[in-house]
Amino acid sequence: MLRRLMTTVVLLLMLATSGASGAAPDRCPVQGGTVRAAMAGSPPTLDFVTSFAAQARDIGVYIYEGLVTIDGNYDAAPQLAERWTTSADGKTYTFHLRKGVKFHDGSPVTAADVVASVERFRAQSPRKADLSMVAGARAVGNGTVEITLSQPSAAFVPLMAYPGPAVAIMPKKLIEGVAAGKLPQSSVIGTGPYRLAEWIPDKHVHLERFAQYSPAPGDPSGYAGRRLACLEHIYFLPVPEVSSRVAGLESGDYDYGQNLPAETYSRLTATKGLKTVILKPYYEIVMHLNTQNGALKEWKLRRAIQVGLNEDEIMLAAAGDKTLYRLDPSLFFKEQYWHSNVGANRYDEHDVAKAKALVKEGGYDGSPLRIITTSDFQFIYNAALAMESQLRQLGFTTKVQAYDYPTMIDIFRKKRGDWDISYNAFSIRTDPGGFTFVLKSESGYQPYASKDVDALLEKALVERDRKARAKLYEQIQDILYKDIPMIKHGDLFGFDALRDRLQGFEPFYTTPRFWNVWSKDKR
Amino acid sequence: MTGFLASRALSLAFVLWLVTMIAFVVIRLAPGDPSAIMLGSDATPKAVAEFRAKYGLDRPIAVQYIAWLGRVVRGDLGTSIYLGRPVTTAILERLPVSLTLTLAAFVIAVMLGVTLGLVAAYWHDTWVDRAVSVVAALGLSMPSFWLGICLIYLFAVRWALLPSGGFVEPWVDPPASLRHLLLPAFALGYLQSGLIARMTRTSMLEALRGDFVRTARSKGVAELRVVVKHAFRNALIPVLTVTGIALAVLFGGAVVIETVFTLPGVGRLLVNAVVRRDYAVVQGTLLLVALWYVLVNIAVDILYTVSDPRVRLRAS
Repeated sequence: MLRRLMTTVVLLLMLATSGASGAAPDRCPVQGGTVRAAMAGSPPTLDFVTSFAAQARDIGVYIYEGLVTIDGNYDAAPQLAERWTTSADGKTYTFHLRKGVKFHDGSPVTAADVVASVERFRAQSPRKADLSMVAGARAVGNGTVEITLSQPSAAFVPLMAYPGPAVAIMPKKLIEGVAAGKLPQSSVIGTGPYRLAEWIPDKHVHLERFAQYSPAPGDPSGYAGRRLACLEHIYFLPVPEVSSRVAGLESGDYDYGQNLPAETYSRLTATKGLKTVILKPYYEIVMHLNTQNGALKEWKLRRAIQVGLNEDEIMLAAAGDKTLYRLDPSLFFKEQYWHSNVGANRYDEHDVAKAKALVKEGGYDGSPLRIITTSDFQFIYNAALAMESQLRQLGFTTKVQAYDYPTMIDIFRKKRGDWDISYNAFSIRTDPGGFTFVLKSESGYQPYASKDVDALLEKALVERDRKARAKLYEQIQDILYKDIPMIKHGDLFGFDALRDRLQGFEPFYTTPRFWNVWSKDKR
Repeated sequence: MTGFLASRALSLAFVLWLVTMIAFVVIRLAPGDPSAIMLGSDATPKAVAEFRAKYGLDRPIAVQYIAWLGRVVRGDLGTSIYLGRPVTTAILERLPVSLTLTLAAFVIAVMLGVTLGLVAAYWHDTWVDRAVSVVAALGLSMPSFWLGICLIYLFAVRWALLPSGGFVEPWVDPPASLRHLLLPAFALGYLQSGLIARMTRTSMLEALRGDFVRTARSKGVAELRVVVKHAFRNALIPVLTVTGIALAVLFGGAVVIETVFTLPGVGRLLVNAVVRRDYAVVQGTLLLVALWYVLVNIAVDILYTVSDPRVRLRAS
């Protein structure tokens, strides 16, 4: 969930005008320099299209570009496509390519490359099901591509824009006949502002500036707009041990550290030569309630939990610092078009007396509520412990079991009778359709089934009017607040740190963006 | 000697077979599945089923084991589900790092351990002996990751003398490589030096009390020569055993140190593979570690004959 749930939204396309960093320069104030970025993990492969891993996406966005990408509001925006049109029946999309764009090997980007790339994605990407509505793609001349759908879809363009893994455009001659995951290092050729210089597994990925890069027009926003490669070299170093990332930052071995622990926030903020940046939003922390097995089948007990929780206390425990979270009732982040306050009157009520009365009314028999959580993500673990202590104050008895993430997911999915409350974190940013799998009865993702929710989800997948679509997701949110199959605690922020010689850095998504970043002293 | 080697080859094969069984079964007993990592918690049951079928995870465990063992015998350790490359390639890419770290840690452990042991034995029951005991006890009791973090804090963060992590190949830039290796090799080697120091001390004490030492001294042999040539040579066999064990243990111990110091070695490969439930990699690396243990032990047995000509190796 923590990976694929960086999924998807948007019906109508907002061109890349909104979002962050409008003040970014149109040329590099300083050209040159190197950044050594300590990352939480290592990409499993450089055949980015074939991997779900966040580490692959984080590096892939430097090397590759798609027809469209996401902007600062997580909406779809043009990248290699200059513009696109949709047929009246909503089944044919025509993308017009930007002129003069070259691959890292110097060859020009053609419609045939785009078709080959889309076809490879549809055949080999683990995200291929996302494009199951695509019937075919064909080149119309050298600079135009036509993609036809088997049925109209509100999610098609947002899903084309989703970056992990992206529908990356690669040279046809290098990808034809190449099996998934088998793209050789020499064929890692894209159109992005940086090209691959070297990959040594578990040691580093070295990128160097692509001098012939042709940036998209428009102000930088998210992954869209003008991307300038001011730094000459970028080294992504896998440093999975978080204390090593912190120590390396403090000692000067790294210029950037990703995903740092909250307890070091104040210290690193005060450290000379470093600056901290808050990644907002990062994840929303959610607990699932088992509506089909055990004590919480009883709605009154679920409602007792909902009404009794003090979300601020839970989020503080999860985030570790007041500046690293916010309370918000919506399924979607405030930064998204889809955000809604519907149901907010049932969020963070913190009415202990009412909760205790409901526990009684619900006929709670005193058997412990079994809470499963994971110690792999400290924020999830801490949230679970804080929540568990509040449950005891409400009159429940509890039993917490912490597992590594794969084990927790295994139990969550396969052993429905073994838990009452389970934990997870969502980060659904691009299209609200990303929640379809989580909420739809037939997916069996969580022990919850609602015909009303199912019907609304189906409608929302094809509704092309953005406003009407948002209304549908509002209704879904309202039902969830009433049925209580899950309770959102709040939005967690991430925090990274970098050397203050690096200028122009703005956090976005979970990927550090070093384009439009320059080194004051050219080092 | 030939009989000895044949017998050891047989036991080696048996131990390795046992390790393949244990590694294969234990990793599969752990809940969780590679599909949870590769496809995510929201993967459809159909996608999970396809994934499991693709990697043969849907077959009975005995069938999977026999198929894997058949490939191992032919030198193929399988393919990593997560990395999408042969396990042998993944291991070979990382082996130089682990071997360099292990050997550097071994040198530190032996030099420190033997020196401390000799000093403690020679000046036994004095404050020097007691100080060495404290140093050795610290080495034996301190977790390597904790020592590693302390070293990083002091030498990298506080005094900015050495890098906090990373690896530079010795053949690319020897001075830089040495700077990067010092802290992890010390963190790893110090632990074993405690054991070697204690064994050296005990063994040397016994040797120093021997008649041959008294005879050597009465003949007027120089004290340094008495200690090193006469006493230490005779005290060597137990020390050799301990250093052999140390060399074997260091390779396994590198798992934690490689993670703390961000070294791209086999240990980190193993840790990541366990987290990702990347079965083939876990099995392959455990097999390698077992092979290392067994080979080091055989080498130590052979070295006995060099250090003490009275020792003869027999097949039994």
